[in-house]
Amino acid sequence: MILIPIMMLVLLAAVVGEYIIPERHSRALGAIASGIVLLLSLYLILAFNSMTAVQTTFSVSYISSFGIDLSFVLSNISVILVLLASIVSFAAVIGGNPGGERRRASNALIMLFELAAIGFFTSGNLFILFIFWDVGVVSAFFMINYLGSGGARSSAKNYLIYSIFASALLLFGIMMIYFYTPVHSFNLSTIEASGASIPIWVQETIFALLLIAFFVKMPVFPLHSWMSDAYSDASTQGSMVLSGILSKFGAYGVFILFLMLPISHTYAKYILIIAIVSALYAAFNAMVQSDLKRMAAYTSMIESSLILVGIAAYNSFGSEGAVYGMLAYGLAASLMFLSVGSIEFTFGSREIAAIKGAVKSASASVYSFLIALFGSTGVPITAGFIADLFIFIGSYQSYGFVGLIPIASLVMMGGYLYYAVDRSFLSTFKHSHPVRIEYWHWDMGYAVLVAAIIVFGILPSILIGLR
Amino acid sequence: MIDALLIAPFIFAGVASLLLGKRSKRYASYLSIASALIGTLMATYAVISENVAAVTRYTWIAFGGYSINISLTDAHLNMLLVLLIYIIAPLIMFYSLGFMDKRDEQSRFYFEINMFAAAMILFAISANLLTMIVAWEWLGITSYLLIGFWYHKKRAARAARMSITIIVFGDIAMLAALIVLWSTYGSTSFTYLLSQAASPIISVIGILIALAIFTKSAQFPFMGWLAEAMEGPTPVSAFLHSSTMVKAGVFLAIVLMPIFYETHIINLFLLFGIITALIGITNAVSAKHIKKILAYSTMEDLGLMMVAVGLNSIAAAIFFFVVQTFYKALLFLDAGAVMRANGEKESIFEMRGSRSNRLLFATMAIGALSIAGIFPFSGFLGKIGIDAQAATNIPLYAILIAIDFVSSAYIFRWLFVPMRQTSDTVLIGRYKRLPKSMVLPGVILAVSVFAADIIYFKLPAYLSIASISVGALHAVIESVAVALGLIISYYVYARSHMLKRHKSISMLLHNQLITEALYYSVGSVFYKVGYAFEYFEIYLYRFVKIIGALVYEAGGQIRRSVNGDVNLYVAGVAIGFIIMLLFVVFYL
Repeated sequence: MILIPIMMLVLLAAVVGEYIIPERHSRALGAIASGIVLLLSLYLILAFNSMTAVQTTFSVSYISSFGIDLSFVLSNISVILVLLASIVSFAAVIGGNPGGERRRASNALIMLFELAAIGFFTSGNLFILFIFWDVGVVSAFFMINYLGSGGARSSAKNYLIYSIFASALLLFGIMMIYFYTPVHSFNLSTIEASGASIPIWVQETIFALLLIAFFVKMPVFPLHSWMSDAYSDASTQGSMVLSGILSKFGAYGVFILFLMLPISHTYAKYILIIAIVSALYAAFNAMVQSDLKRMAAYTSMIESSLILVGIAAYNSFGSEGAVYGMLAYGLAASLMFLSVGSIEFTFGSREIAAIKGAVKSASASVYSFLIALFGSTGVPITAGFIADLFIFIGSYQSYGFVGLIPIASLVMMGGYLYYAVDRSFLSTFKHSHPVRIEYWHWDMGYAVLVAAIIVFGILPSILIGLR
Repeated sequence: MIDALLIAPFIFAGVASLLLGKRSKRYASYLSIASALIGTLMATYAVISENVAAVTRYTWIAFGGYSINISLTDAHLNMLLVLLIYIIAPLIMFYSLGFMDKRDEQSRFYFEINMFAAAMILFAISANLLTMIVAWEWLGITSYLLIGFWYHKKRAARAARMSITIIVFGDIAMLAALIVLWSTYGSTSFTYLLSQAASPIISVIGILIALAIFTKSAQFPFMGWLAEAMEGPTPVSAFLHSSTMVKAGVFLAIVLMPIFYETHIINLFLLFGIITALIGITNAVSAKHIKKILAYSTMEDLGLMMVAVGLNSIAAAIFFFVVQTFYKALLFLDAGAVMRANGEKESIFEMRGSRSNRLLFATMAIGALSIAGIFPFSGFLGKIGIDAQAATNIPLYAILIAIDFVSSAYIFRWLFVPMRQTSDTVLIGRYKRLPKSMVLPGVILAVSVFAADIIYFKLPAYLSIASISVGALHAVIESVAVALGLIISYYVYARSHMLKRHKSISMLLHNQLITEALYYSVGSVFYKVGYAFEYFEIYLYRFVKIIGALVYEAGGQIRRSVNGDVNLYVAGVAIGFIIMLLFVVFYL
């Protein structure tokens, strides 16, 4: 599949281009580059079913003595995640930086991150996968540290320590896989074929190491301490890609872990327990936040936990639901962060008490927040409904009524989010005054995400029919 | 095919109103009226043509050999509900012509109310649980937007939030029911569900669906949002309480009645129906807000419908379902007109002179006579049907007659108090100058209240259900109770103008505050747990920091130990040697 390297080259050119062109053209360049990638990924979705196995693979030998190839494989999971990455990045570039502060660096980091995401999701080689993972981690670090606000330095440090820890475990696990597979390979399809021949205790060790690494990224209780600070202190664009794409690195990782190691399914029920605890824990924490962006952060943690429920179900419905959930919740979370970020820009604050009556002066942002809310709680005709339906059918089939417990977090999510809307946007008893006005290009960002949420909610067969 | 087309008018009018935006002027309302009337014609045709119940399936998602279908039906019961919606909808839209006279609100209002109506139509024609849940959740969302339509009023925003919080609970219960049903049987079709014998799984599904029904139809303990929802515009209240939204729950209960009967969940309906009806009448007697009295009366009506469901009497439930639609829409529309004439005052004790507009007062009186259950009016049929079903159970029958008596008393209080004489010529002038569009729908509905009597003769044959034979004794007992209520109300409120209020009694009766306190305490329990979790979160963060500090400290200690002290090095070498020796001795 030559399109994947082409996408990456386009993005790489845009990253370099951002440092050459004058600042005023920065957004245009970013929009063009990520727009091209978006169109290409849409084409991939539409053409995917008619592709042969040869057409979905691209492989160039890189370090042949260790069996490291630049190999990209488009599977039915990765094609959806590439679409998610390109939609979220496109929306982030055109709508995510209302003030236009440090826009060249910001857009370049988004492009770099998008490159890393596309590489990570399509990589057919664990070594390459690890490299893209770290590129993603580093570019997200700068989005928090350099572009963030509030206690950004400290949050970025926390984030980096957690991520380096996760990366070290990931690298160690990948090395163990390499040495214990009979043919000594980094190649994902080879490992999937020969995973059963790895000794049980090695499989268990690898499983534990990689699971911790991926849980840090998702994030899932109890490895989420970096999350609330990092999500809320990052720039708007940063938190959009952090919640929309980076957290899906972890989910996708757990997914391929289940594909690689046959031992995984015996631990699936423990993963379900972690997911249930995590969902309820995040719901209770989200409830008491006074800062809307932190509330959105915990909301996205609930969503990550629901994706994990789908993966832990370990059947066709659960897996399909988890993949659909990555898309649906990724879109909803990034829309929520985009609208909260824009409201923060308009009112100079994101405290619930300080943005009263926002619906008067920032109505587009408020309505977008509501649609993100609908998408998160899984109202029909938003993509979240399909995801909820499939995830919980899967988990009920595997675990019975225990599998339906996390559905309670959806009720709580609805409860606290509507309460927050009432206390902040709608409350005009003493309404806050905006310090800036809305710009038209925010609406473009909203439009892209809202359209995606609704189209994939009404026409799920576009994505669910994929082989 | 016609069943799918039935949604089209509302969708078209809603989208068009949204697109018209600020320029909509009155076009949005004319468009809505016209398309609703077209819908009325289609619905009438659908009912008259008496087609055989056909189910149309559209595959929504095909996945791994399974298919998840949207499926629609034109069974007679469903078409009846569609017709009711389409009779009320044009009148509501016509009333809004006069009521929603602020230009900048029109586009949003017509978009939301048309989408709401479209969701209700989809609900009415759905033949499986998946389609129903799509409609069900959209009813919730659009009602949230409509109740909070005047979000600049603090109480409206609060009411909208209260209703959606309760309704989300029901939505998720419904989703859980859908998941269990689909996973167990691979189908969500109602006909399939109804053909299943009772089993534990069916009981679980039944309980979950009953929970959802209770939230949407405002049954105890979820009834709190109903009265608060009066903060929405009056056309919305009229629509919400007559043919849509709250009726959705009752309708689903009627459709799934055999399942509830087999699993004995029907007793829950009976119990909670009675409790809800009692809460409704006590509040209605003590409330002052002109629309809230009617809302509590809706609560009573819904409770009575649930009682009918609980008595396993499909005919009684449907009779009451149909007749309640007309008189409740009528009363709400008239209440809105009276409020408009009195300058948007809300308390009935601050209102006067509703007799100044003869036409308006006549329709109000007809509505009140019907809701009380006086003989020739259709409300009589609804009440007597339920009473007759309960006749074998004497305590229940006594409670129902008491409810009839009290409901007659409070509705005439509602009628008589704003009727008081006024000498205020400005007020009289305002009554006289009420927009025609706010009075004429009431006239049509008042005629319908009479016309609805024909259901007693036509409906059982149309739906092929057993009719109810009403004994003369029941009719007499009911009529006496109602007449007693009318007389007491007349002497207390119309003749003697006894307006002195007994505060202690009214506090006891007006238990809405207790309900809200209950909700508040449930919410605050959740928030307390939330704060406990936040503490835990902070300690978790500190714990991680402590681990980091320990690692850092250990690094410092190791660094300090490597300081050129030869004795320490020698000791280290010796200890290492001993460990190696032990390893060799014991392990190899």
